[in-house]
Amino acid sequence: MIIDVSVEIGKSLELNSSATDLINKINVINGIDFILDFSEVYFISRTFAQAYYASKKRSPKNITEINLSDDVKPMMKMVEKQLMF
Amino acid sequence: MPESKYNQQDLSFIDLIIEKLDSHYGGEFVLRHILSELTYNIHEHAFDNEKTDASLSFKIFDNEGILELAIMDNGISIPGRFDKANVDYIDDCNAIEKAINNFSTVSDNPYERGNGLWTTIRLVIEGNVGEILIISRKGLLHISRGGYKYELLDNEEYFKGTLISIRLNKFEVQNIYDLIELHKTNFYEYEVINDY
Repeated sequence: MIIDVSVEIGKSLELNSSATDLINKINVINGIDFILDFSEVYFISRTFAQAYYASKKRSPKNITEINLSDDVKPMMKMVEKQLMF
Repeated sequence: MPESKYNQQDLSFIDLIIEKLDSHYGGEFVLRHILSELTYNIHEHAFDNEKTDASLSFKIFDNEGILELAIMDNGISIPGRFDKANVDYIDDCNAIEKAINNFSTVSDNPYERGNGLWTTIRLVIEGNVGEILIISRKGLLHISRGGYKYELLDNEEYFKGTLISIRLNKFEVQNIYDLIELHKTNFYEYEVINDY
């Protein structure tokens, strides 16, 4: 299932609650595999990225991201890498 | 005003502020980061009851190439938050020191703790050679590229809540992601001086 992140929680993602709300919504949808489309998202804060990856790690779903812009991808990659250690 | 590059219906609070600021001061990412992280802190930590207020103000001194930005609330304050969470600290300056060094009242997981104050300081001081002033209850911390100073405000009319005032110079920060990496070093160590 593909989910447009900008429709669900907005295009400028600043709060950690936005991240947890998004993953919580996914957690109650039927299905295992989910693709999150970030194509309309133009900013994510570090706070959002941390909360996103922490919530994603706890989720029973398989969640992947697509269409991360050049403004968004570096933050997501940095935080994801740090959460692996 | 120039036409917004964003669809007006989709604008967040941060978008509305960014549109009024000059992104040459720090760069758009830095301004967004500062505003989002510091307003997040207010949202997450400062509001203790319905009577808490918060405000944001800014002024551009274009002839001097300086932008000053201030975010203030009359909420629980950093030391007050630690009191509520039963966290030990020496005094209100030590509480500020703990807050900027990733000490959280929300989570024990270091990767879930807020890093907003710390990353903001690094972007402003190291990235932009700017200045930061933090006042929270009786604690004060001033940081510039030349050094830092803590001070206990020893008077009856202590400041309620938290004020963070930032001064940015007119150039964009480079190496942003190096500056907002997690850290382990405390660059702003607080030393208690006892007067005997």
